[in-house]
Amino acid sequence: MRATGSVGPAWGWPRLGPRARTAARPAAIAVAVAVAYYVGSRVGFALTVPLMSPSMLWPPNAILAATLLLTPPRQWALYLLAAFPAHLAAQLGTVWPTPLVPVLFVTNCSEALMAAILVRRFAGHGPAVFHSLRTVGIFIVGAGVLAPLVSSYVAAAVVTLLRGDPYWLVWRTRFFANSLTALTLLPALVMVVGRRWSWPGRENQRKALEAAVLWLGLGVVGWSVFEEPIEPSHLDVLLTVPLAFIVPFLVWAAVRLGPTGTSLSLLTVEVLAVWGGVAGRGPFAILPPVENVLSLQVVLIVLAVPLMCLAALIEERQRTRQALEERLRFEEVLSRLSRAFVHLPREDVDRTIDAWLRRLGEHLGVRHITIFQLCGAAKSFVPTHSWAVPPEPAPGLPLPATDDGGSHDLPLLITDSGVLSFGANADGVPWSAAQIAQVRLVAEVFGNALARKQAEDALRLSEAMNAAILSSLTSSVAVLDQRGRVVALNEGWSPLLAGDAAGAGGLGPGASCGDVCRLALGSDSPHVEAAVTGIQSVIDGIEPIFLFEWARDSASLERWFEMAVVPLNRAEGGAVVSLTDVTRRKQMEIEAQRMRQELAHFTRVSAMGELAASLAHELNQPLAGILANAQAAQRFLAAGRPDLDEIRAILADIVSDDRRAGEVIRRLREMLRKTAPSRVPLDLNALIGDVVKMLSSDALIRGLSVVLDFDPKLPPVTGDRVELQQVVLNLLVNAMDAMAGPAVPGRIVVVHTACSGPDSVQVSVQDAGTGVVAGGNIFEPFYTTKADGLGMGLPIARSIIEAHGGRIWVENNSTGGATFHFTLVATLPSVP
Amino acid sequence: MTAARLLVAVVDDEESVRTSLRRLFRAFELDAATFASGQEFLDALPSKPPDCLVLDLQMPGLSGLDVQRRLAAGGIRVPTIIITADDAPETRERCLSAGTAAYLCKPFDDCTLLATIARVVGAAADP
Amino acid sequence: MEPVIVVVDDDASVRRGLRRLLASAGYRVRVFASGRELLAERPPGPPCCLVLDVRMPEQNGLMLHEALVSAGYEGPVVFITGDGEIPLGTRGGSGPSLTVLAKPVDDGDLLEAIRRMMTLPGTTPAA
Repeated sequence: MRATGSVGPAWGWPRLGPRARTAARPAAIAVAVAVAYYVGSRVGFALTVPLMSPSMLWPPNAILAATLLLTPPRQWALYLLAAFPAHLAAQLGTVWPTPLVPVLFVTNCSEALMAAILVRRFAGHGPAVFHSLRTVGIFIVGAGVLAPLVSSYVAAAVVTLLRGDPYWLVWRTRFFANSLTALTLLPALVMVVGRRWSWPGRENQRKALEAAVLWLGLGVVGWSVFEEPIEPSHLDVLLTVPLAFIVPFLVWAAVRLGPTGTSLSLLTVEVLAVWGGVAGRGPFAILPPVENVLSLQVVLIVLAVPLMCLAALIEERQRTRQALEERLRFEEVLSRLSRAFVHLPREDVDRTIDAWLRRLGEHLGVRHITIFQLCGAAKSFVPTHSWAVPPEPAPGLPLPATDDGGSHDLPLLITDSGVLSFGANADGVPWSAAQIAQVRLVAEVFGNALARKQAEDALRLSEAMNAAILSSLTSSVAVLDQRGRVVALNEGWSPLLAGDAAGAGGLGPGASCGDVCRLALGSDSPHVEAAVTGIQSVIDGIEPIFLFEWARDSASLERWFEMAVVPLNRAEGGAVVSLTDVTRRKQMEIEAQRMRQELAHFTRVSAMGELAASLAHELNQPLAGILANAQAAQRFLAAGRPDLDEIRAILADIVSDDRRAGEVIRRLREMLRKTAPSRVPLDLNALIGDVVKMLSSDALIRGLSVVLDFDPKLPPVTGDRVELQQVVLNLLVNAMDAMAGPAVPGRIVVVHTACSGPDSVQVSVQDAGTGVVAGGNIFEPFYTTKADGLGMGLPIARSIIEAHGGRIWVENNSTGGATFHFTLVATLPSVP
Repeated sequence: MTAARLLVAVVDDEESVRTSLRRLFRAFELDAATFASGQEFLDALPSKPPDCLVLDLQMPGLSGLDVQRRLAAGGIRVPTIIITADDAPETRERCLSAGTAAYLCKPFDDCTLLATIARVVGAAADP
Repeated sequence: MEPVIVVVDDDASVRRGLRRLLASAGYRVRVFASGRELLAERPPGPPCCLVLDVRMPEQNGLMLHEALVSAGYEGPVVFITGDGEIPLGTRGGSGPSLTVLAKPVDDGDLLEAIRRMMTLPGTTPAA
């Protein structure tokens, strides 16, 4: 396994983002709880009617319960333990006997726990409990009734046991006190602490003003209700009315200020009432202190329950209405968002996405939104668009945790073109299903826009590529559609258009293929028609390709051009015409042809040189005959009485010998000639016969004989006389060379001619020599077994035969020796 | 003494050479018998042995040298003149060592031929 | 410093399963429940491969990967997408250094992807 070098040189784990209030938080909370517990205990003691064992209002339990409702269960033990010293500090040394104190702590804790568990289990936690009727109802039943009820049974029993107070009295007082506290103080604590109140902003200042006015009024009325000493004489009248004056304020609070305001108002009233009641004032002052307090408690409880419910109901309705408004607003935003991307030009897509991310983020109140896309041939997910509330760190770095210590599932929406990733809500509220559904719609709009952009990008890229390819070709390329009209041209046509003196007209899309041909070949060229026909045949699918070469004289030199037409590879058809300047290639071809001819000539010359001896012999025979005849004639004449007939015969013989010598010279000259090859009809038998005559002396010298086996009905072939003679000569010389060794039996070369098919003839030269090496490259240049050979004879023979459209090959004979065969195309007589 | 006309045999596959040489010998007042191949000559030999033999070297079938060897093998002593277009010294050596009396290259002058015939016949006549 | 595969997934049973699977294939594995936990621990040396759950609370897999890439990580990564998500797994496919697999993750697919990406030369430039 490779070393872990899959990182840059400076690898280091990225830094964690700041975590707000991490380990310090629980400790701070615990301290706060303890302090509050202590203070609450003191207050509770202060509000104790003298001689009554339990207090009228017992804050500590509510404080504990509030703590448990606001913090995660795993920290509860910490807070309860933190409260224990406070409890001890508050209660030791008071009226309670020492052994009772821890037990009371246990009962208090149990009440708080019961309340918290019941509420958490069925209604949730945090301020949200008071925002709906159902959960408030559960709270009232659980925390307001059941918990105090059950714990009071136990507590009263303990107190009775240890202090001897009357059981039911203790129970009743404790129950009502705790119930009242749970119904008023507990909600207030939860909502105030749980909402992290900040100073109200401008839009809330009106509400704050209203709240202030309300509170003032409440205070005034409450003071007058509960604190003014009551004249016994005004008992009946002033008893109930001032108390009733509280109610409008409280209802006002319930309707306008929500559960928080309601519970705070109730708390205020309660404090005033209890304080007055404990001091013997208030509407129930005529009653004994205990009953006074009890009446106050009952009145307050009876007021609190429906008012809390009312506040919760109104809050719930308001929230629903708000949610609906919000939903409608969002729908509008969504539709504007969709419209924004319709027909959006490609360049604007990114900008629009960024703008809308910002709007979306502000609307949803999230901290950041990022779009990741797969980039670089699936190399990584890259954040391509992102928005964040400043000064947010870049997406990716871990974000601060939410305040309740837990974590929310952050929406992550995956579409085909990318991933939309949302940050946490600014107020730490978990994402609701409705919100997630909303952002899913948004994500689809973004996804579609991105997908369209990607598709357009890909299209542009491929179009740009095609255009680049077309323009970079050095040939002139024209693309025609199935009707022969020009669809596209590349820049190679510009020089042609510029130099088009004959004015074939401009060449643009829509021009016909005739225009193309006229421009390419020149308007005066006789080949235009043929070219157009060729192009049309490709378009129609008759021919798979059309190639056409022509020469065009320009001022300085002759140029060669080639037109290649191939079908256009698409369903609708069409053709691609490409025009290439092949001057160079043609020049090289011509040059190569010239060199081949030079070489053939050179080989012929050297072959002739090798035959010099036999040529000399050939010439010598007629010369000897001429000399002898002439000298004989001279003698006859010198002897007098010449026989004139004899002299005539002598002279005739001399002439014929001379002619024979002249033939030899002619044949030699023919072989040594260096002219361009011509194509004429030839009689192969006669041609071969001539060559054999040339070689007859040589054969004689070597002691070989050449046998001719000709097909008398051999059809004529078309070719160059000298070149074919060269081939036959080469083959015969090779055959004779093969039998050069001594003691080769049957020193015969046989030349066969025959028809080898309806339109071809075959010539075979058979020797009785050593045969050829199998698998050898006998037709390759410079391959020779002769010590002084050049090895070019057979390659040249092959190129000549192949240029004549034939084939040449060699086979070993079963009887020894080899046979060289070649075929040529027979010239069939034209059918009349 | 009356010189009987000498009989000269000419063996050459070339028709024109035979014809011209026959004419030439007639002009020399020599009798000439011409043969187209060595085999023809050997067949006709017993009936009429010539006084001199003019022999072409390069012939199909029996070459000049072959004829000469046959004659030697048969113990027939006929002075032989080889005529040929081949001028190579080795050939000349070979012929002379095979018993050729004279070696002439074509084309040859008539006086040269006559003189050669006289010489070889004269040499053969002397014991 | 031995190469380590780092797995981040918020589901404890998935973490256990992946750790067992990769350990049984012979790799050294470290598992974490969240990006925060990983960065808090700061294991020594960079990982040789990452296996990240895409959907996690607080910080999803993509963001975590982005953070590591910004810090210099260039190695391969396997993203695991959850049930029902529009198939990035099928469309995202895999490249030389990135594979997307859909839950439930096939053992063989995961091991094959890791093996392939870690032995490709292009993904591990010399440090």
